[in-house]
Amino acid sequence: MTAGPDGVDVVVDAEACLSSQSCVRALPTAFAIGDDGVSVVLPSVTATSLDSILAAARDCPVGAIDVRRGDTSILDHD
Amino acid sequence: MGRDFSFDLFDHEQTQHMWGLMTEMRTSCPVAQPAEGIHYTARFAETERVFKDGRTFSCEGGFRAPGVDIPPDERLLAEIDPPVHPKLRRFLLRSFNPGMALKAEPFTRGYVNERFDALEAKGGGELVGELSTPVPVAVTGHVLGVPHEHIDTIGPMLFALLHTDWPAWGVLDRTKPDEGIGIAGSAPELAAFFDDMIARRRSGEITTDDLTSQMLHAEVDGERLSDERIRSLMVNFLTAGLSTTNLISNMLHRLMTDESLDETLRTSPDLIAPAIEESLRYDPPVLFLFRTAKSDVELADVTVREGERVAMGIASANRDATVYEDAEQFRIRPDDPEHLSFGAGAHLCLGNHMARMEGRVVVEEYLRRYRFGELTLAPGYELRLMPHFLEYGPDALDVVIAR
Repeated sequence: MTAGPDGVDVVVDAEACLSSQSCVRALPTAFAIGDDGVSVVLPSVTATSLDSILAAARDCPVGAIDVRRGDTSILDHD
Repeated sequence: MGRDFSFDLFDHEQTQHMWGLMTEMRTSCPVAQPAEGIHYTARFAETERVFKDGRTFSCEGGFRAPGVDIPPDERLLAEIDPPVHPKLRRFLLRSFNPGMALKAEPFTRGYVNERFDALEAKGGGELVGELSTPVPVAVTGHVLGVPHEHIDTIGPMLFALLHTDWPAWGVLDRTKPDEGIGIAGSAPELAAFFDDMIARRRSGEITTDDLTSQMLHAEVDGERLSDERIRSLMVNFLTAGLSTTNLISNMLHRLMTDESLDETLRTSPDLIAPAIEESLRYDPPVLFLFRTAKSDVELADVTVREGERVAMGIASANRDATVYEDAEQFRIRPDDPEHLSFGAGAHLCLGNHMARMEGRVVVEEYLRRYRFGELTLAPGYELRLMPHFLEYGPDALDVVIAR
């Protein structure tokens, strides 16, 4: 769990991540691929707009990214 | 729409030389219908969308002609949909990740130098057969545990299998394209080679931690992988690795013919990685890939019907001027969006880190060993492309080494 902008936390579910790299492609300042192939949230995510983080989270083909405020997900999957 | 955008996707004379047609399609017909039941996405946006939308577009069927089927355990990763695909991919990610690519780098560097040594000893040779093809086979083979001395034997066999004609994979007779025969039927020698590797590990004769052994012991969704599945995956990784052949050949051809690029990369070695990305964008090793629509869907004002195929036009998308400035120029562009040569979404090329590492190591060693003009195309050399509708890379690179 990494602190994001506007008091949210950004979380990647390492068990679900398929290394599609979609999040990295969309937001290279907020996400990177770790040595094990799983996406990691970068500290610089705080400087990224919440809207673009939400868009990247929705774009993940396996829904491995969550954006939370406290214990509650603020991501509305379509 | 007055212009007729039909073309034969299975004729390399057309697919490798349609840059002008692609430019026209991107502006006036972004989703073309080159043939009945087949659509072609010319722009970046639709191409990326089809890659990423696994709910609407299925991978099943792959490159096979409609109706051709093969046993489920013989399917390529690129032909498998959920729920099986994510489980397999998650397991395989343990072996195909940046860390493992880094770990394979010293082996790769050693092997690349062995190849250059051999070429140098005879004053030159043919780089596609003697360097660009064996390097990915050796590196993937290294990961799988293929004994080093067999690389030169299985390389040409894998190359031949990959380059069988449409409808390609696992078809007994082109006149009867519904007669699928799988790997054992289309490449019996190769099948026997991998079956032997598997058997030696099953019996305990060979105990290693290579990927083949890991696949033998893996439980995916509570089940062991069948020997057929393991063999198919071994062949899958090795043949998929042969796309890197085109990357290496394209990059070396460019380096031998473009002195200013050569100079740039010598002065700024940190530009080698972005130069490889540009090579992947501009000279895509794989020109397009297929999906099949699972339901009717609108794609840039065109209705794609359930069951119809979509060719995702990687080559055209990579030159989309709305995404890349000076898209028709080769220029190092570290800040531009990533190309689609590895695909996108859940099926993004599993070997992308390995391919990038191999490309970088070949370029680094070439630059370290030779000054510009020292290893050059042989007099009278003429560029011909790999005679395959999907591929984009030189068929041969005859070179001489003058020292």
